[in-house]
Amino acid sequence: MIALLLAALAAPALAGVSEPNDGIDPRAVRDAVRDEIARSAELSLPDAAPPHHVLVRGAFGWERTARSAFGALMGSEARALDDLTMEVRAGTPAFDSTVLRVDRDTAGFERSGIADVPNVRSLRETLWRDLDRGYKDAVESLGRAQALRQALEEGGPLPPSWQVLDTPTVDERLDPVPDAPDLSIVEDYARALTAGVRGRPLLDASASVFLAAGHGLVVATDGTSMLASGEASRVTVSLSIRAPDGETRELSRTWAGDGLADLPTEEEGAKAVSAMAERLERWAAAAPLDTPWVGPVILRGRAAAEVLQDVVVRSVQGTPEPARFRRWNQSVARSDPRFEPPGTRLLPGGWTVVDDATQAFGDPCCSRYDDEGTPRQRVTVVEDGVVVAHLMTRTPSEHFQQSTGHARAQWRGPAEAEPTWVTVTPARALSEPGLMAKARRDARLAGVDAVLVIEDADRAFGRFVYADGREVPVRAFTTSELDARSLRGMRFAGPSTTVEPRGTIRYTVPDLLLSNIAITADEPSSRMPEPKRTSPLWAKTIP
Amino acid sequence: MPRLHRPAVAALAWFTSTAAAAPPASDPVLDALQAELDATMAAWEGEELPPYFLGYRATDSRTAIVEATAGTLDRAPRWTHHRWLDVQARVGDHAVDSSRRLRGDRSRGWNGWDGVSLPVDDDLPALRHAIWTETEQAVQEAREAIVRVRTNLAVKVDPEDDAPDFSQETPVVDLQPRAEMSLDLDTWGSVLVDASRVLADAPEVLAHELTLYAEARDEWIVTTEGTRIRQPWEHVRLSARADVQAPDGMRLSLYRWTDLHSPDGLPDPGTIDGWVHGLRDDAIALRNAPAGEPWSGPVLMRGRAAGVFIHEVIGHRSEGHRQKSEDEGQTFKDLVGEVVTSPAISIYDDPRVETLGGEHLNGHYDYDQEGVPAQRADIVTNGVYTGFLMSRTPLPGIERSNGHGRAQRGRSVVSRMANTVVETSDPWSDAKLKEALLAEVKRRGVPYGYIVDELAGGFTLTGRMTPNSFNIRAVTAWRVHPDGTEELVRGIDLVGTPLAALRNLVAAGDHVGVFNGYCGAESGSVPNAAVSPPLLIRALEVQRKETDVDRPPLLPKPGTPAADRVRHATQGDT
Repeated sequence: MIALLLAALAAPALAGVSEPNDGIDPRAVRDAVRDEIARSAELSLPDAAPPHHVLVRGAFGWERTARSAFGALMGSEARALDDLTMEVRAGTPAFDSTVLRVDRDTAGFERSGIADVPNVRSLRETLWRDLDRGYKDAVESLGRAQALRQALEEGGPLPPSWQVLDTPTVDERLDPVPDAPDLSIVEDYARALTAGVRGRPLLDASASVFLAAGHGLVVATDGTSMLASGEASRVTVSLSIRAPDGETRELSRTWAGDGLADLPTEEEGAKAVSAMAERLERWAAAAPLDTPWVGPVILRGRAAAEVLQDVVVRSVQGTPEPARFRRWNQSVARSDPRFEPPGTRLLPGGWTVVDDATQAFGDPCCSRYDDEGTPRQRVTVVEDGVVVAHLMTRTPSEHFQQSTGHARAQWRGPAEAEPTWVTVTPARALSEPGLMAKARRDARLAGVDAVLVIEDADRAFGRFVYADGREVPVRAFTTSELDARSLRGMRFAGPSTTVEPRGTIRYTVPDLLLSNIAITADEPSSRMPEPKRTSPLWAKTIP
Repeated sequence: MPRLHRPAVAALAWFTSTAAAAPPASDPVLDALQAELDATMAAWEGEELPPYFLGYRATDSRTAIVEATAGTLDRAPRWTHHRWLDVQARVGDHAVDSSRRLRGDRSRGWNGWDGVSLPVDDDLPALRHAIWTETEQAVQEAREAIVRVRTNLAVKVDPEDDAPDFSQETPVVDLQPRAEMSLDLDTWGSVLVDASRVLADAPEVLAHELTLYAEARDEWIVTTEGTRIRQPWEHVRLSARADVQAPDGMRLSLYRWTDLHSPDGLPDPGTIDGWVHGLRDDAIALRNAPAGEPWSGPVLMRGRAAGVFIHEVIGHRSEGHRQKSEDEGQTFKDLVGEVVTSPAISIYDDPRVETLGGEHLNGHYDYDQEGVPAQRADIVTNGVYTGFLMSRTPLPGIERSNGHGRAQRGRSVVSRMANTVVETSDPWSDAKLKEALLAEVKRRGVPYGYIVDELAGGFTLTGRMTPNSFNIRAVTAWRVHPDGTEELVRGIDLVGTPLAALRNLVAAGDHVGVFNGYCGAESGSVPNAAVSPPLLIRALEVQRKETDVDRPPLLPKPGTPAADRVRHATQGDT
């Protein structure tokens, strides 16, 4: 759990910093939270019952961040990890205050910080203020939902608002939290990552390093009580370049792990960044696509994961969308679900998709419990190419009512289902040469003399592979939409690789061969003018 | 809508309990700025539409913060270090250049962040690359802008305002020592933690914090005219805040704060203890006070309130750039040489003043953000309107800056106030002012007058499309009844229109109050001060402050006896 909690905080916290809360007994924090949520049973308003569920989620410890550009430090910070979120639900599990969402927020969900050096008093004061506000907001939202219930149910009966657990999770796994590294170590590491590309003709070469460690807790009025310790680390490197015709391109890469030891060494990181720079230079030197092209495309690694994520995984994330309340006319609108119902074909026959955190507990992708305190489960979501299950939180849908342990906390709203480690298995996987042979045959059938291979997440980097083995990079192109129909018609897949295209979610996916994909020249919306002179940092320019 | 307010202390970072490191003797930032300036101008020499002016403003800021609440450190002591760059490129010439606003264009222009971060390492090539990136973009944008400006001039009728776009100023070379600050944040953390317990113990205080914020900043200004400035700015603020909620739902925040140019004058723990006890008592008294009602009549502004009144009523309307914009009300544009207030009153703005009335002034600086030396600007002399605060954007007949071009980092410079000072040639004692207030109450036949001491800030509307008015956000105000008794009230704003308010200014007192704060307007948030003796205004209007509609907290504050009683009852332990 702690790894997930920390990872969830990583992105927004990159701009922040603080001091470790050494010496704070996490059990004292947990007890303070228990005391204050026990008091929430006393919350009441005229004609309103106390909340039916209150949950507090917290993470406290230390964070270190450093940012560099071209080997120079841009900023660094050392601060406390101090996140505190609260969920207050008014009404009943069958119909509660989360039915409606107003603007972007759901009433009853509050977010605060914990003091850098938490004490019981400050923690309870924060909880007291936020739970009070959350309860009032939730009661108001519930009243609004009750007034509009008839309209809400016009599209059919609503699923229950909340799954009540028979057995709440009680777990305590406290380990010593490592001391925070000296900030200068993090700074030097950030510098080292980007120092090696100083002479290259890049517009930007920046690195952002984030380290955190501490304790996490989830405590709820239903008896859920969890306490854990953990570490998180993340590095994001971002490079950008300008091609001679003014098109600019950014290439970024993220490494995530459970501490400094999980990150690449300075040498490994610098080498990877240097390879990224070389790749960008090749991209900038490539000719832009000038005429439309239709033919076979092989999606590899991150490109394959991106497509499968967009088309398949999003279709099995089963958290229903709350109805949206429109202030201007005091009405509600139920949103169309983003998921596909069970029985929908997403992939060719014989393909399966499984999400399984249990294979790698402790990895950044795969905490033991989700953000609602539910144990992770292995879920086969697609069998023989057809949807058979959804990834679920404790918010039931019309199709599935039980959590599968995939809740990911959201910013001031109910948790949403999110995958952990997705494995896509084709009916039959060809070897790499075998897949290329099939692709070449498709090229001949399409009347073209090359196969387009795309490996990067945003599909901006491609190369034509000709029959004689020549490879010609190409840029400034757009692929036709790769949708469910494209994937259902997919005939061949290659060897699998494991990638993390975004954040900590892990994908093990095969290379995908898609036939008759249309590629058109991409006209950038704006081109960067040619610089009057070159940067004093560059040793060379793009020819 | 310009606003004067206490600054919210920015969230900052990086922990150490010692002092900000002393800057090195060499100056790579200055070297990088100069090198890029020279290289850019050389590259454009002989080209079509080259920049005629290029100016850099770099800021190096080391900030410290420590914050306490409920007997612990809400923010542990830490220092952070940031650098930023602002680039100004002008194409054309001083008379007509790329900065000119297009006539007929109703948009207010880009008002967001427009700067760039610089490396905090003294790494010359990396610094130069960051400067190069921003300069390329600024010059290209200026070259595009001048084409639009020239087309606009050809299409539209001749403007009424024939002043040039950019003033000619004498270059300045002044490289001052870098800012340095030494502050024992750990000790301060302990002091603030101790003091915070007083507010934590008060059941009525819903939230509170004590904050020490310090900044040691260096600013470089380097231009193609030959200006090379490095000037330090040091600032320390100690503040305490207490939030309460009245039974009718109104939320009230009360503050104590002091602004200083160095940590040397920070109050001792005993004084801070007095602050928090006073703050607690005032907050509780205000919570229990009646809410004010709409009313009109005489008002005596005292303490910090009087300076803010002048800041909102006349200060913003005397900013030079407002006299150029056809969207602005231009209240005083045609009143130069006219009587606008009591002949005893003079008003000026002078950034050179470091202290006044024993207090450090927030608006002190040697050079403005365009590199022009700070100068005193007279606004009203013996009741007669005299002139404007000027940046390097001239007005017809006023071609030079008087050193009031100011901007927050990342924002374009406009003319702004710094230290606005009110003086009187006929000082009245407090007793005489109150006597005159009561006389005015009786003369008008109103049930009471008002004395306003403390406020949260104010704002004013200076445009033509909105009512030309001001609003003073009072915090502590008293109704003064005809028998002289004073009754504390809460929840009022003082509103009015500028010319009427100035003409109703009857008299001023014999001692000054200083409001140190930050003022927000087009060029962002800039530190400034408003200094004034008490002011008696014959008539102002009071309006109700907006109020929250939420009930006060449903449960007693934890850690207080009432909460403990509830807890015991919950546990069946009564």
